Amino acid sequence: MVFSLALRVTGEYGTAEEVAQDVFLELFRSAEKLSGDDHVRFWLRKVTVHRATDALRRQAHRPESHAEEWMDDAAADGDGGAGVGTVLEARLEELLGSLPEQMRVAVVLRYQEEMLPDDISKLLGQPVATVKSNLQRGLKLLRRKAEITMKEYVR
Amino acid sequence: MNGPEEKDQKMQFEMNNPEMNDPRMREFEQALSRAMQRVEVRAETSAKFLALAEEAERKRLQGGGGFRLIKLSNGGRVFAMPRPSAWMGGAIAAVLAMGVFIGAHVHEQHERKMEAQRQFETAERITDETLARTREQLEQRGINLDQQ
Repeated sequence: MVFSLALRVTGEYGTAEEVAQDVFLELFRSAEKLSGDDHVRFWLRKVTVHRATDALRRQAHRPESHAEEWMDDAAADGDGGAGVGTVLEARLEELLGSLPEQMRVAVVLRYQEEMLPDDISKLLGQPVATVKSNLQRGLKLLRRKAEITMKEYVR
Repeated sequence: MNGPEEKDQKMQFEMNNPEMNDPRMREFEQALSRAMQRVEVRAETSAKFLALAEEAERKRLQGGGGFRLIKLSNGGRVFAMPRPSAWMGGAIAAVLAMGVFIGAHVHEQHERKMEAQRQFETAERITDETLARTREQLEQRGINLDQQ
């Protein structure tokens, strides 16, 4: 869970390992304050997301920051079917890496960790509406990029 | 998650935007869920992280020596081996960079490499010992790392 979350947020294996090391160090320091699996799971997700986003911000390259441009075109065309799903599975890390940070975190928590928007909201300390908006926009953007990637393959 | 039906319902999070109710978008969501399986780090690596963390913390509290948490120029952090190994790594890298390959140096490097390897193996043995103790301590607090 810790490593996978870190990998999908940072997009880099080595960075994810560093984040995981950090989280385990922090776990050791905080173990006395934690009680029960649910508490530990919540704590691990929270600290991992914080550490991973910190690492992401330190990286030289930034994720896609012109989300609106992609959004504007999103309704123009699109297939959204099995072909896009295949591209998604094959190029998941790359596509995720192109999402802006907040959208990426929300999408990873929702679809990898299977968390509900309410729970994501508590974990990130954001309003539920913000989480839903990030999920919705992230999903649309991801779909749009998957469609374009698929067309490039076909060409 | 309690069952497949509940899971399916939850996977389709309710939003007011009609676009999100588009069957193609739902299909995309399902494809995304399938693609987003967790990537698990190897169990040994995970165990080593934990042991390194304990060792680093113990040494830090004792005020020096052993593994050190080093901040890199790019902002990242790594656990470093004890000082002699770090120094030897730098020396070997410098020799390689300059292209200086004189027999004596090669022999010296080999000796240093063997010494570094011995130190690393010693460090690994320490982590194995501390791992069992750390697991035991965490389990006493109700934390089972295998389930995390």
